[in-house]
Amino acid sequence: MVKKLINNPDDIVNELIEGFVLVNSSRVKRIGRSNAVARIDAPVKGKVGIVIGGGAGHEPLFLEYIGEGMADAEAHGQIFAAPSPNIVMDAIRAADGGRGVILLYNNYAGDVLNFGIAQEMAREEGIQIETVLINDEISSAPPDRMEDRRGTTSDHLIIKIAGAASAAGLDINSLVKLLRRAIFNSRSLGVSLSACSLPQTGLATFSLEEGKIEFGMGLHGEAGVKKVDLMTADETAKTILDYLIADLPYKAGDQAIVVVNGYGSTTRMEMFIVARKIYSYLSEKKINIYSLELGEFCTSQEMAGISITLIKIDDEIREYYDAKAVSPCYIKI
Amino acid sequence: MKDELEVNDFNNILAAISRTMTANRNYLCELDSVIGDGDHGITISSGFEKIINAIEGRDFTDSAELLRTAGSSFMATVGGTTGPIFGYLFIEMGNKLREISKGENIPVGVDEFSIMARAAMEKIMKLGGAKPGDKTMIDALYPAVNSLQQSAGEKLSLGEAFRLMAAAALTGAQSTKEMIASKGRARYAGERAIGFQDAGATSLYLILNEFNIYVNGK
Repeated sequence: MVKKLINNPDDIVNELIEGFVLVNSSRVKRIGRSNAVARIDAPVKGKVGIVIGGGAGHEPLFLEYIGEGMADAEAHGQIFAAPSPNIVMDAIRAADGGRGVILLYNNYAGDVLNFGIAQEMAREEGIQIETVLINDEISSAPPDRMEDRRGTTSDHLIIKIAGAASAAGLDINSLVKLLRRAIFNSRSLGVSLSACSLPQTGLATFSLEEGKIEFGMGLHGEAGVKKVDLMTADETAKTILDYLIADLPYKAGDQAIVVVNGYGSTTRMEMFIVARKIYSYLSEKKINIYSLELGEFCTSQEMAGISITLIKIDDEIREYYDAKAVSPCYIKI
Repeated sequence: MKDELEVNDFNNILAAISRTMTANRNYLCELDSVIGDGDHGITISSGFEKIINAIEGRDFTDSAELLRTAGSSFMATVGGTTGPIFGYLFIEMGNKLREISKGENIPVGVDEFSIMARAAMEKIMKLGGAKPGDKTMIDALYPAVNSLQQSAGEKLSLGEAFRLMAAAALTGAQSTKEMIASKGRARYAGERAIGFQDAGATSLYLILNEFNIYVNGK
């Protein structure tokens, strides 16, 4: 049984949200007693509302990415489970500034179901709603079945682009087009060194044998595609980059944002060593790194491992990437 | 022996389902742990406990209202894929009953139950996109619904219809063992899913079997 600092397992999400709101009380608010939160000044009139959300257990995703230049409201589910439709509705109403609302979330069956039901409910209330699914994880399905791919670790930057573009006044249809382009340009792949555990059971979600690593593990312990012996950091980074580069493909002369994301228990020491290889290898490939972000943006409890994300950028995407953002876990000034 | 169900009966059956799900919590978690994340038993038993809290002590004008309330409460509190899928099982049964009863509080016999169950199944299939063979709860529900339709056609008693319905659901749930999953998180497991019975299909059987036990005794 894995040790975690929780109280009653049934109260995890409620208490997590209470704590989050207390820590960020000048920036965010809870929607009544719902598991939905919003930026403190929501709804912001005159712009498209951005609603994000998904299961708990991946913090800072999605909870902490609400604020100026980021999302307007977030719907938080139970651990690794999509939020129910009424939580999503709470977030939608909080985000609705009169110009429609975009539901921006990862492509998982539970999320599609619950957000989809909420979308219908909102439309019945006369709110204009569009859905944009994030599906950047390349091992979950081949390129000819992109619609089956999961969403994983490009999320905080897709959210940033959505927040910046909506603040700039883009209408809902232009926003949807922009986001789908940014998502199409984003490819992610991770490697796991050890499993995570569910706090409510104390049990690991999968087992990884001694000395083995697995490429393509999901954020909830979904099986990966390749299990091999532990490699060096440089070999691991090169392996992931080769898969990513081939997938879009990213070509010589492209400009990219790179994300090195820790899944929860991988040290910054390891991530810096990996980042070093990313710089040299992408330089070899003549892919320009506009910016490299390193940290924990999307975790899976205490899973060990990292993911690498490449986002090919153009002038428009770069402009929104550079724009101001102020949120509990992402700031750009 | 009962040949029709009224509000009280649905109330009692929901309470029995809740007790059974709680009793099977660990078993369902184990089933879910191989190709899922191992929490299905906790999720579904907790959801039914919340249903009981929501309906306890309340007076319902008719069975349709009770079923809709139970389903809505389940969907609102549970989330994940389990919330909408199992929530709509009861919501849609209630909706269909409301429709065929034209708002009157009619007792539910084999004919009514068969129509209600089919409507619920169609709604769930539309929501989630699952078909028989995808290794989901539909693999237990589909044969159960067909069994009910046949029983209605043959004018069997409620007890006999429910006995056959439960048997069909059980066979359906067991048949998921050799399937590869096409829906939900399990679809990333590929062939690793073979040899393991689907937790959702098992839950669906347990739910339908409570109707069988209620009318026929254990």
